[in-house]
Amino acid sequence: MRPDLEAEFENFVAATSQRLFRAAYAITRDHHLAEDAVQSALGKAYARWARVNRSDQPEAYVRRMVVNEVLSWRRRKSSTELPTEIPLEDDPRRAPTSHDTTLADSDAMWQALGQLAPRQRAVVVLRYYEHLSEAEIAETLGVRPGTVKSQSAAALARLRLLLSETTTEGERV
Amino acid sequence: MSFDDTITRSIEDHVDGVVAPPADLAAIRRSGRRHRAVTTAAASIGVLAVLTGGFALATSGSDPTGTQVGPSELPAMDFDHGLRAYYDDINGELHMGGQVFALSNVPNLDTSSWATPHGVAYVDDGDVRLLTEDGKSRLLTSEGGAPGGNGDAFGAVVFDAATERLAWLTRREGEVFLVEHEFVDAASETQVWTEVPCEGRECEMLTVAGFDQGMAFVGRLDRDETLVFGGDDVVTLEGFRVADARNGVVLGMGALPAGDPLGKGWRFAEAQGPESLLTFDGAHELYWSSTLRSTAGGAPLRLDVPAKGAEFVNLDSDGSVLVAVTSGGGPQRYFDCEVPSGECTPIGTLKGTSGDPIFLGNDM
Repeated sequence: MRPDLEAEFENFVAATSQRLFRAAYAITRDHHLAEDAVQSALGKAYARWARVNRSDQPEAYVRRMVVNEVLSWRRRKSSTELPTEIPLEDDPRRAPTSHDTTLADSDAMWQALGQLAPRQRAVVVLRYYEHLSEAEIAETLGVRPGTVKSQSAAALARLRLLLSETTTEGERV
Repeated sequence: MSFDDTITRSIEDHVDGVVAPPADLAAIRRSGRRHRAVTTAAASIGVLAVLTGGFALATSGSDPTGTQVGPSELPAMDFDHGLRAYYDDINGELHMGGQVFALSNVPNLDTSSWATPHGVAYVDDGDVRLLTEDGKSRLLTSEGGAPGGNGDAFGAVVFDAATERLAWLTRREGEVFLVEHEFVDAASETQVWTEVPCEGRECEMLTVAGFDQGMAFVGRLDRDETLVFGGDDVVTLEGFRVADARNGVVLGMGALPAGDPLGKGWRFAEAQGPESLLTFDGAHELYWSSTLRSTAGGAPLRLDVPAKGAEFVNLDSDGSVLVAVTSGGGPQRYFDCEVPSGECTPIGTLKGTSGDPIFLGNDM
């Protein structure tokens, strides 16, 4: 690769790898899987960097690659099991949050998100964390906007159900 | 707080504080190079030019500077129609020289490689190797191949068809040298080393951007500037970054040099991008389209590609233009198009699992 492109790629990695990692982590909920997905996607981006860099939104291009890495990994594993998650309070990599008063709700939602199918979780992460439009999510996942709409609706319905079950169980206790 | 807000806040609470490990750029680059491979260039043998400066050494024998090592399980190939090299980085299927084999068998071939009539030259952990048509690879650099041993080769390897020379950069004992490896005949090869003026970090920002008729264009990253080796003195083209040079045409970005700075009457033309390539005759520019822009302001050359969609182009080793066409994530159709007739021949189709078509040795 030409040196100017090498430097641009290096700058891109420095500027975006943290955000890409967090998006991957939000979907995989596994530090190592997220790291592998970002590493692999960046490798592929490097292989075609002139093309990626020439696109209107290089970060969106690579984010699509990261999400596809995550989802294709899940397909290869043929499993919907969640990776073992480090408990929030025990994760040394995590900085303290200031949302203590709503931490219980936040944790309950996080646990519920973990029970979504990977593709549904990806839709939720892209919509509510990355704040992408339905069209952008569709492009990222390589599906039609209508599919995003239905996946999103199904995910939200599932989340409401899971949270209501959690609340009911809590009341029983 | 609304349900939607709770989702956003929950993800932020659990993700924003997570610290990503530092990106391992070296590993990313290694991974990326596994997704690429070989490249383009040359065919004809022309007049042998002689460089001044530096020092030269000659070796002789059928295997003058290296041993038969390198990629395993490669079949013999046929480069008579050019390399015709392209691949799918998902299933790892590499098409080259009429054969199909696994990319993993040639992990160090990448965009810095260059195909020559003698084989494909590429950098492998600081050494330069030549993969020949019979599927074997040998070192072009080795201990004892130059006074003081060889350095650490880096950047691109570029072939000059006119002088039958390869050029690359190498570091040795804190200095950077331009190495020109000449294929004198089947039994002997010669290397000429010339020191490249640079200091500190700028020494890391160099590459061979073009090599034509004995004139080597070494580009700097830290500024739009190109050093030209091959004349009596090193010429500096200030404000101009060379993308490619062929047949006396120098394609680049920035301020076109005025007058005749090389003293050869060569023509300078503006490139559309740093990845632009020139056809062998220097008359047209390849840049993301089957319509090739004239470098002299003349009519474009339109390749007769019998397919519609996004187009990706690369120069093949015999001077033809490889074109890939894909649409909507469908199959990638590959064509070999003759220059200047524009006549195209289908050479293969890939399922298109990787998104963009990829030619070996080209970022386009």
